Amino acid sequence: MRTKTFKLAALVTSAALLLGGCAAPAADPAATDPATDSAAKGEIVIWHMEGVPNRVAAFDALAAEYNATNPDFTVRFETQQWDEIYPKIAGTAQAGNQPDILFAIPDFATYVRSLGLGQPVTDVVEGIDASQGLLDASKVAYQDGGEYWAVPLYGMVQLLWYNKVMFETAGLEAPKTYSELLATAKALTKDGVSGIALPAGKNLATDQVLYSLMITGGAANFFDESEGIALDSPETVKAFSLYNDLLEYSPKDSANYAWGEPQAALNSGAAAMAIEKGQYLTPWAAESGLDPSQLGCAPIPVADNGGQSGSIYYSNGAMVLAEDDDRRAGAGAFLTWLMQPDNYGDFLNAEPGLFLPVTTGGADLEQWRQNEVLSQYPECVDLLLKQSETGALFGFVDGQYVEKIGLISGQNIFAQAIQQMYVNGMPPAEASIWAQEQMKAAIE
Amino acid sequence: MTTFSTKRTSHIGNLIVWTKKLPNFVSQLVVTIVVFAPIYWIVMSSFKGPEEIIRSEPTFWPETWTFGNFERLFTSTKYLVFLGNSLFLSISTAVVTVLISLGAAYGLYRIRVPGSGRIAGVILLAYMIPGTLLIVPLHQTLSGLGLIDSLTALLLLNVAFTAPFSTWLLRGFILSIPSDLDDAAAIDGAGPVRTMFEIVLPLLRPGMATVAVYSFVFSWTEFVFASQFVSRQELQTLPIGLSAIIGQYNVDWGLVLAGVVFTMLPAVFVFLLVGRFFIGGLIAGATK
Amino acid sequence: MIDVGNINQAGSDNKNRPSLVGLKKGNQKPVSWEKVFGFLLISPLLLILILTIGFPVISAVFSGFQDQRIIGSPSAFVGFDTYLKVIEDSSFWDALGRSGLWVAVNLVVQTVLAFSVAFSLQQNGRWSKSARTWVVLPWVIPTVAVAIIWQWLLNSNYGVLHYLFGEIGVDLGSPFGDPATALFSVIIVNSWHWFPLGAVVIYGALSTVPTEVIEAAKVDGATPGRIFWSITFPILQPVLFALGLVGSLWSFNVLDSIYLITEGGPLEASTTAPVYVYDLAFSEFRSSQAAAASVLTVLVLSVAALLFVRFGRPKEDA
Repeated sequence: MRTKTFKLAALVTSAALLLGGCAAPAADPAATDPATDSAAKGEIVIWHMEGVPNRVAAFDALAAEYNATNPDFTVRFETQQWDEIYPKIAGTAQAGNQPDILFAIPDFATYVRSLGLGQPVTDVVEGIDASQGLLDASKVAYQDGGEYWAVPLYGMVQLLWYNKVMFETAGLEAPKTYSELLATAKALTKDGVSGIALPAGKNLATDQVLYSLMITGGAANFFDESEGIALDSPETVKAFSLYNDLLEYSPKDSANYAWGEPQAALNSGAAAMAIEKGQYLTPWAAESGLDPSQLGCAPIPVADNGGQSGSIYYSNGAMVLAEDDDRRAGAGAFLTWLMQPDNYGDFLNAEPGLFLPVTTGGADLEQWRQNEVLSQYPECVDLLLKQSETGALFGFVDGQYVEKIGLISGQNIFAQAIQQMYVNGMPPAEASIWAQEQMKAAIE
Repeated sequence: MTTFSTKRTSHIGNLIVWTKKLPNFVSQLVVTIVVFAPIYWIVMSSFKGPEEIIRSEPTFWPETWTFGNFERLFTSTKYLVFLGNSLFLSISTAVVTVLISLGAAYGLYRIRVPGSGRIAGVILLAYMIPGTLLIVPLHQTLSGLGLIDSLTALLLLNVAFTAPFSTWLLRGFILSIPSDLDDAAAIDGAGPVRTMFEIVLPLLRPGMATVAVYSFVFSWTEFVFASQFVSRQELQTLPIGLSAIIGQYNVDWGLVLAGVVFTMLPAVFVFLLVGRFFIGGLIAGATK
Repeated sequence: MIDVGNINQAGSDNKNRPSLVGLKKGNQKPVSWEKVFGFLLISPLLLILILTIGFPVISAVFSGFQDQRIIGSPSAFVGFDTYLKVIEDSSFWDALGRSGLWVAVNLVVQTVLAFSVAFSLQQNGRWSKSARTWVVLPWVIPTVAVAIIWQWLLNSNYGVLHYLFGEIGVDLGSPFGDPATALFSVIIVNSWHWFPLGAVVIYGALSTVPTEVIEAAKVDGATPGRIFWSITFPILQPVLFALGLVGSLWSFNVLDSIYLITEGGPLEASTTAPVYVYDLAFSEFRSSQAAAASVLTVLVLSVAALLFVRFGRPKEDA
């Protein structure tokens, strides 16, 4: 009961403070809609990473729509960069001027939490779950100590993308297993075309593709019960080995590739296959000059024996960093609004194909399915949705929450292990042990 | 080679003139290619469609010209806002840097205040600190000053990074001005302030022009501070706007190239406009 | 750093000009006003530097004696343990070595380019006149764009440079992905980006060379080489000294060009000291170790700067 009175008192004081604070600097007139200004108690600032114009435009439009509903707190999106966010959020944590909401992925969330930022959002998540139904995979990666630490917003998942024209000319079918994948890559490598384009740069792109292959090879969980790291399993070594073998049929400068280069290689006809997320849909037709029906998509091939379908799955969520109760409530209100079917479709359309719904009803959202890009690739969209169900992310497999994963993932140790094999000629078994030792050292 | 009589035949004369000019011509050609080849490629490609930009057999002249990339740049990004911020920041950085470094260089290397050597050493230290180290503590300093999310913060930081180098640069220019000038002025009864403004500063114009150009460009391209300490879109500068359109997952090449072209253009335009002033300053310095 | 100051101090004392100016003419004006004026002139710069780098430097030295992982997380005082950890890490010394190579090669490439451009700019003629405006182009492109453009030009699938070299039978291979060439390829890109700065500075300094003296020397039959070494170079020397010293220190700390292109890879092939420090701080989240590595790097740089000042300072320069 005491907390209730305390909360009430805090609410009243903070409201008073906020009102006073609002009146003083005569808030930038351009930033907020004059119609809503009088009613709002303040502004919620939201940081999201990646400022590609379509995403910014879609988010800004949603903010305007929300602000027009006369909420307690209006919202404003600000764009950050993945490359800069680690130092920046640490700096704001020290200075106490963090944003109210921060978009995150599970491993980044562990980093943000270790800076002393982030409030539990269990009530918001449970509320959304009750009304919209949230996919388990999207929630579990943010669940720790009985609380949720982010509101799941959208998922991202990988597929095998391929150029159907090349496959038809060569009389090939989409590969289903490791060995078929390797054979197909080999068969398609001729006349200056690479069978597959894979990233092997020292970056997260490389980590992601390798991890997808580890999942389909049965090596998704490399943490044992005591959170010890075991990367020397035969399944892991097989995935490492496959990646290294595939790189032989990937363009010769793959060791400097991240996300953009394999996609451009596939679209320009320089490569026949690539493994990546749903962002491949939007530019395909314009960049390749081919018909949407000529972009092939298939589940990521599985290990020859005992493999299971799957992919790396990133549940992107919104962390609430505001510490004041009132602002937290305002942040929760906006996120709840965002996940309502009417608004959620517009949100997903910010990045057609890359952003996948995390609500059970999301897959059937008309607004989303009828998107001008997605409606041209109905089969691939279905496949992306299907892969989401079996997706996983290292450190968060089967309900685990490895708090130290943030310390590991920042270093791109998987990518470095790939480079050990690819540019240094280290055998796969040795590279997997090398990666294991690096990860152990990282959390020491 | 000078033993040839250049007057004997016009043929040989021409040959000699030509061989004398040849190294010159070659170096001009090389410089032109080094600077322009990549830029030519950027500009040409910014007029190409999405398929032509990443074609394996490149086209040296756009097959079909399109202005779509530029159209997207102006409709889907706040280019003009970024441009305004960049111009404001770069010009103010240039002005402030010239003033501050001129003062510092004059005090250190002309007046030579006691301990000037040690002070110069401390200034040099500014260049030894890895930038990474500064970021997180600077968040605290700037928010203590109430400067987070303001162009003033960027101005302060840019000057902090341009002024030390500029001071060192001006040192060289100051040392090349004969010191008897000051002494002569002093005999004429000029005080230190008058000596500075009337005798030395006019001779420092080439140095000041160099410093202005340097600090303008530093600000024009500065990325780390602008991304760390400013978050509002209305305050962002061109490099931030440009890097924002380079997505992590998707690269819209046409848009990026159009963005690059329109980041270069204003700077070149500024040089065209005030270039005469700079070069005038340089030449004036040279002939005095 | 105190030593650098002392050397400069010794240097500035060589000429004893400050005291002479005050005494020689038996001026009535108190000497101190000039000095006060001098301090007033210097103070804004010092104030800005104290404000912006003073606090971070102090906090780095302090942090080096702790064992902090993620910035802001709890930590304990561990004496010199963190420093020892860095000193014992062979990657740190490798990174420093690469930085040495980075600075040296950048210096050579950029000096050659800058000098030839500066001389070309100085001539009369249409080319030189127009070049004075456009030569700055590579320099005014933000580094983010420079990095992406060069990766695009050199890509093996759609890169025009790769294509052109292929046409004349040269396979460029994987310039940024091959450990043998990655660092040098980034140096080339970085030099392309920065050489106009050197060119503008040298051109500015060349403009201060009195033309009459050169004309007179020409009349006396001096060769261009002689004119350069005995007239132009001595006048350029103070500016070149400043450019060489500060330019090298600054090029040492370049992080963005490298990070944006290779992220220090493949493996550690292009991990210079600043990349090493950045990775420690924000990829491995060992902030105390990053601070200690920075402090050690600054010490090494101070020694290098000191040597440069001792041996590189122009003779007649104060």
